Parts: sequence; C-alpha cells; structure tokens
Amino acid sequence: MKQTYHADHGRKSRGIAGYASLILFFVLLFGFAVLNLFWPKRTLSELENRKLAQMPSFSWTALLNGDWFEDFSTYVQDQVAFRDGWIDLQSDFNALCLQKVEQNGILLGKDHWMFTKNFGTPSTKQLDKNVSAVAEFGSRYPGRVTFLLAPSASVIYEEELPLAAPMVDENTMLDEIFTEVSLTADVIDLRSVYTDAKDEYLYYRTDHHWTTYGAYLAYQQFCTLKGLTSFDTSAHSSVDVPDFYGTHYSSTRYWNVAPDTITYYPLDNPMTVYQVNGEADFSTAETATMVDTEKFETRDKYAAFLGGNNGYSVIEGDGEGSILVIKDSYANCFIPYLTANYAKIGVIDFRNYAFGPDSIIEQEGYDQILVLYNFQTFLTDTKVIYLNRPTTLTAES
Amino acid sequence: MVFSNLFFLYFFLPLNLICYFLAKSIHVRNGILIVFSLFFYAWGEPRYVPLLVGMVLINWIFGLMIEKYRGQKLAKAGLIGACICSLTLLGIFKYLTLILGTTHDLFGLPSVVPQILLPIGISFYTFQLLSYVVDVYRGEVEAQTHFFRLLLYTSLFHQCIAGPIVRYKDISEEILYRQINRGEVARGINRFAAGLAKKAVLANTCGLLADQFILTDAAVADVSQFTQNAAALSAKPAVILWMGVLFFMLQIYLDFSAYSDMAIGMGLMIGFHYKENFNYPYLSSTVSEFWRRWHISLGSFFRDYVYIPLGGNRKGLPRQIFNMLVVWTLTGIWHGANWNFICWGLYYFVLLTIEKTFLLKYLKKGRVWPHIYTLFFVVLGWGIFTADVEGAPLPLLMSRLFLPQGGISALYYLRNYGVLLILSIFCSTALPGKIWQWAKRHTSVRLVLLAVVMILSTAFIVAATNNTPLYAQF
Repeated sequence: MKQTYHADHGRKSRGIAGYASLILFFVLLFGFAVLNLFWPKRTLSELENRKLAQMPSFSWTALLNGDWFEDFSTYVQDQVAFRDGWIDLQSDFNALCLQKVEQNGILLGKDHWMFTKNFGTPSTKQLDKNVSAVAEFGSRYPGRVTFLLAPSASVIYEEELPLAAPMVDENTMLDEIFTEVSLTADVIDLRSVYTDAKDEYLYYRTDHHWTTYGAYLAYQQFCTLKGLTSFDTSAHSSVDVPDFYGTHYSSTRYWNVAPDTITYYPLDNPMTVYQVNGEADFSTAETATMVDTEKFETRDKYAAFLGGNNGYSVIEGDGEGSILVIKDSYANCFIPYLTANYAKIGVIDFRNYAFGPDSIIEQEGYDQILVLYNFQTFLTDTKVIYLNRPTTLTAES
Repeated sequence: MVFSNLFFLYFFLPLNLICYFLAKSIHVRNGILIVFSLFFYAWGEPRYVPLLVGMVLINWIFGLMIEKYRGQKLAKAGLIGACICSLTLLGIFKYLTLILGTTHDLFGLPSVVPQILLPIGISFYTFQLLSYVVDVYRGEVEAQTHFFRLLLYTSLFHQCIAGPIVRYKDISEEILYRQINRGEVARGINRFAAGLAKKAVLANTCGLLADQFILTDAAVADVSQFTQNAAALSAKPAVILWMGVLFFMLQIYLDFSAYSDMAIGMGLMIGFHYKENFNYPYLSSTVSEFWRRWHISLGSFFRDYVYIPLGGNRKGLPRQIFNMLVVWTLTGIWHGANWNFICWGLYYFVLLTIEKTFLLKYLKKGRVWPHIYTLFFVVLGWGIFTADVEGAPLPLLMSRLFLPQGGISALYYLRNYGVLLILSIFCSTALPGKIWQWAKRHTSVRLVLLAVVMILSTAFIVAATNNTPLYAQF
C-alpha cells in the first residue's frame, strides 16, 4: 500500500510545488541554524531573572566524562535566537490551545489574577520548626515581640482561583500558627481586615508581593496594637509607577496580562545599608533614601523598596524609640511607614545576615522587635530559626 | 544526544545534510554518516565509543568467519562465538549491577556492588548485531566484507540509540545503492516533523504529568527520597494514580513512536528505508494484537531469533507455552535491569497464554468489549512498568490503584490537562494520519502545517529543559 502511495505522490506533485516542503524545511532548518550562530549572546535574561549559560570552557576531562557536552547543550538552549519569543509562544499555546490554567508553578486565576501554586498537604517539618522558633524568640523578649504573618493572596481571593484548585488548607494552618505564637508574642492576623477590604488593591496580580496599600492596612493593625498614631497618607503625596510585570508574570508569560502599578511615598529619611563583617559587626556601605527609583526603570521594580534584601540596614525615623524588623521581602514596602513612629528602625534579613539577632538587639538597644513574613516564605524558609542562634561573641565585648 | 535537542535540530542535522548532499560519491557520503554518527554517540557518553566500535569489530570478524566456513562446523562456532561475545558484553554492562545487587541482598556477596553506567543504546545495537550474524549464518544475507559498512549500519545515528532495531538484511543493499527522490525526501521531512511535534509538544508534557501524579513534586526532582515517595504515594487517591498511569501510557507511546517516526523520516531523507515500528497499538482488540502493533522490531526479533528456533507452536501446546515463557521473560528483562520489568514480561506471558489457550475465540466475536479489555490490561501493564522508581514499589502502587481512597480532588487536573489528554489520545489513533492524507493534497495547507509544527516544536523545546528518552535506558 505504501509503495503505491509514493509512486502516486511523485506523479502528482510537479514543478515548484513538488519541492515546496523541501524548500520550506531546509529554509527553516538552515535559516535558523545560521541566524543562531550570529545571534548576539547575552549574559543574563532580565525576563527570566537569571544568568544565562555561557560557552563552556574546554577541558579534556570535561569532554571525556560528558560534562562539556551537557554544558554546551545548556549554552545553546540559553543563547538561542528569540529565546524570549519562543517561551512566550509556548505559554500562549498552553493557555489558548491547551486551555491550561497553570504555567511553571503559577495558577492563572480569573480576572487576571495569578497565584502561587501550593497544592495538597505539604510537609510541615520546616513550618513547625519556624513556628517554634518565633514562639521561643517571643518568650526571650517578653512584651517586645510582634509577629506579623501575611496570608497568601489565594486565601483572601479564593473565588479567583482556577476551578477546583486543590490548594493547601492555609486557613487552618494560619489558625494553628497564630494560636501557638500568641502564647509568647503579639500576633497580627490580617485575614478579617483584608477580607473586609478585598475590593481594594491589596496584592499585585503579576507578582507575589502585597501592594503598598496592602502593607498600609497591615501597618495600621500594628499601630492599633501598639497604640501608635499611624502615618498620615493624606499629608504625603504618593507616586504611581505603572507597567509593573512581576515575578508571576515572568513565570507564566501569560498573554492576557494586566500590568500592575506600584505606589510609593517619596520620603527623605536616610537609610544606611551596612556591610556585614561579622556578628553585630558592620561598616557603612552606602547611605540612600528608602526607595531606589532607578530600579523602577528595570523589570524587577519591587526591588526599589529598601534597595532589595540587605543583611542589615538602619533607617532614621521621625518618631521616638527604636524597632528592629526581622523580615522577608514583604516588609520592604511596609517599613517606610514606620518612620512616622520610631526614631531608629533596624532591618535584618537572614538571607544576608547569618547570625542570631540577640547581640544586635543588645548592642543597638532596640525596644521593639517586629517579625514580618508572608505565609509562602514562612512555610519553607530555612533561616527563620536564626532567631534563636546563640551569640558567637564572648562576654567581655 | 537526543533528537529533540536544539543543537541537534539547528546545527547537527542541517550540517549533516549539507555535507551529505555536497558529497557526490556514495563512499564519501557513507564516511560522512559514520563521522557524524560517532560524534552523535560520543555526545554525553564519549567513553563508550570504543565499546560500540569494538562490538562491531567482533561481529564483523565472526561474520566473515561464518561466511568463509559456510556449511562447516567452524561456521557454527563463529555464530556461537559472536552470540557469546555480544551477550556477555550486554550482560556485563546492563545486568551485572542487578545480579550482584540481588546476590548482595540475598547472601551478602559481593560486599560492594559495582555501579556500572549503562552505555546508551546498547540494547538496540547489540540486537542489531545479533540479527546480522544470525542472518549471515542462515544464509539470508552475505557477510559484509568492509568493516566500515557494518559500522555504518550499527552506529547510524538515526536508529543507534533508540531504535527501531533495523535488520541488516533489510538495508544491506542500501548501504551502497541509495536512490533519493524528492517525493520520498518530502515524505521523510513530514514524518520527521510529525515525530518531533509528538515528542516535544505532547510526550514531554505527558511525562511530566505522569511523574507528578504518581510521585511527589519533590520526588520528581530527586528519586532517591524513598520514604517520602512511599508516603506520598500511599496518600494519593486512586483517580489521580489512574490518571498518572494513563498519562504514562500516552507518554511512552508518543515518545517512543515519535523517535521511530523521526528515525524513519531521516532515513527517507537520504534513501534508507526502515520498517515501521508501531502500528497504532492502542487500537488493538486483543493483547496478542497489541504486541503485533507495539515495538514491532523488538517483537519480530524475539519471534525470529528465539521463539521460532525453539520450535514455536510446532511442538505441541506445553512446548509452545514454554517457548512463550522464554520469550516474555527475555522481553521483560530487555527493557531494563530491574525486577519490575521481569514481572511486566511475565504478566504478558500469563495474558497471552490465556488468550492463546481459550480467550481468543471469544474476543474475536466481540466488538467493543475486547478493546476495553485490551486497554485495561495494557494500562495496568504500564502501571507495573512504571514501578521501577525507588519509592514507588509495585505492591504499593497496585494496592493504591485498586483500593479507592479519598484525597485531593481530580477535577482541577481534568480541567487543566483535559485538552492535552484528548489531544494525546487523538494522536495515538489513526485519525491524524487520515486527516493528513486529505490535507497534503493542498500544497498551501501542507506547508502551513509543516511550518506550524516545526515552530511549535521549537518553542516547546526552548521552553522546557531537555529530557532524555525513556527507552535509551533499555
């Protein structure tokens, strides 16, 4: 049967039409091959927020054990012509033709919402450690520790999730966390405030952070708890930065995306970012304002707040007393409000400060301590336990 | 290297075709193919190139010996020598770790089990060489006098690492006389493109899903997490596991047949004709039929070189059943050095024996139920087949499949992967081929389809990290 078929085919296709698929195939194959050779090579991909592989250096050992080939494949893959376009095309096909509501671990919700995928019953081994760590930390500083754990957007906007998404039972987990920590520290549970204000702009849709307004509501809760007068937003003018395509967008590359807008208050309070030399030992690296407006020109706009996740920095506020904030990146747009209430605001991010905080609290004399995380980080972060790292400094210092 | 690799698609293959068509003489062309093939084989596994070349050399010498002493005892000695050499090497590189591991578990000997890295494609090219020496011995084909021509047959990158198991006698004439006409080249191109899309767009995604459904996300990244896998597997609801096995069934067909499509397509581009390896196996109405349509080059290898020489069905029923037992144990073990593959082979032995002895005549009368029956047992077979991962042990998987329990709802997954599932099932039937028969009559439709398929496949390859085909481990 096959024999008759191609004899037949050979007779039918005459002239240029007979060569058409050959020409097309070879043009596609050779054309792209040549284009690829001369395509400019990049060191990093802003869209993917990572370094791209470079031409691997040659060595006989690497060649013989096969590593060189593997590295070279990665290099070709990373430096391919129109890389961003190819990834967009795959995302479009998945969303439009395959009707998928999930791309690279991000759920594509209704009304342009994007959520971090967190399904089933995750292992709570790390979470349990983190909860005990905060509780223990609270018991060492009675009356001085506040624990603010921001819920995920998917808890507040549950109805925007894709159909029947089997998300983890974050509500129950949050209940348990707050119950345990509240025995030794003050806790701030934002769920009821956020649910009442859910028509407002609380979370970015294309990014995993809360908005400046979402942070403000959290800050108000903190003020109520501490009996403070909160930062007066009407006395300050705010600036809007449009066209923010955040981390969720980078993962999904969803075609039908609605970009977010970042709001910030231009404040003059100086922030000193320290270079960490050792435990409670640091030297000034730079002094700047809290919002690095140059970052708004780049893709990773949220990094403008506090200039990213520095190990230790101190901000001069306009109020009285001092507070130390131990945090993840959620705090970056929250901290500027604290300048209304404190004279000195210290900020520790354990990702870049691998010591226990006790020595700094003693040395710098912080009155209050705020531990601020969001649920997603808190669930898996392995560095929260640094809260109780014993000091490595000897007694005489 | 694998075919769905950017370097292969947009460097290796175009360069190979340019060099090939620029050369005029068949000898230069063959030389080019050998150089490219050895480079292809060396990609990622340079240490085993000497093994490949050495095995060809051994079989080449034995082939000549058989030819020279045809009809004498030395010819038989040559055949036995070739088989012993090939099978010993295959045994050392593929099965020694399993054998020593088992004796280690049972008797504590040896104290340390050596971990031998499996040379890629060894099961495929060993079988090609076995078929060569046996066919020479049987006088079905003349021995190849030129070493490099036998090396070309064995190492040709089209089929060396992932099949089909091409018989030497089927292409022996094409080594020196290949005719190329544009109708066939065009057909090869279309076949290659179709295979590429099956692999890049469908099979890879199905594979990711199968892993996700059967294992945990963490285990997909690191299969050594035995206890965690087992715990996660015990918590999976049966519906999710069935979906996992179903996606595995689609993946293994789409992936494996895609490689055969691409091999056949590349063969046609330069005038080699490889036999079909798959014939829509999931449309079968009996398990026996399934095995006539699935991985045909392997089934026919065991039929021609094991089953029939043992007497086939000509020596009475008990002997026939014994012969089948041998064939199916070998088929199982060919797929990998793991006990679950042997179980899988024996599972088919039982099914086929039942069919042969009495079920077949009832199956022939039915219309719909034989298909349901066949698919059910084939899906279950793939369940056994997947259970080679640490932490997804066979008994646990089976008990989870058949003891319903609650857990997370499958609705989300059906919603998210429904279209992919339907599309993958559609592409496992003969329908796309029929649509193509219509579409290819219109030049414009044909060209648009070709361009779309190539571009879409490239997008999927760029967007995903490469994954090696499953059966390169066989």
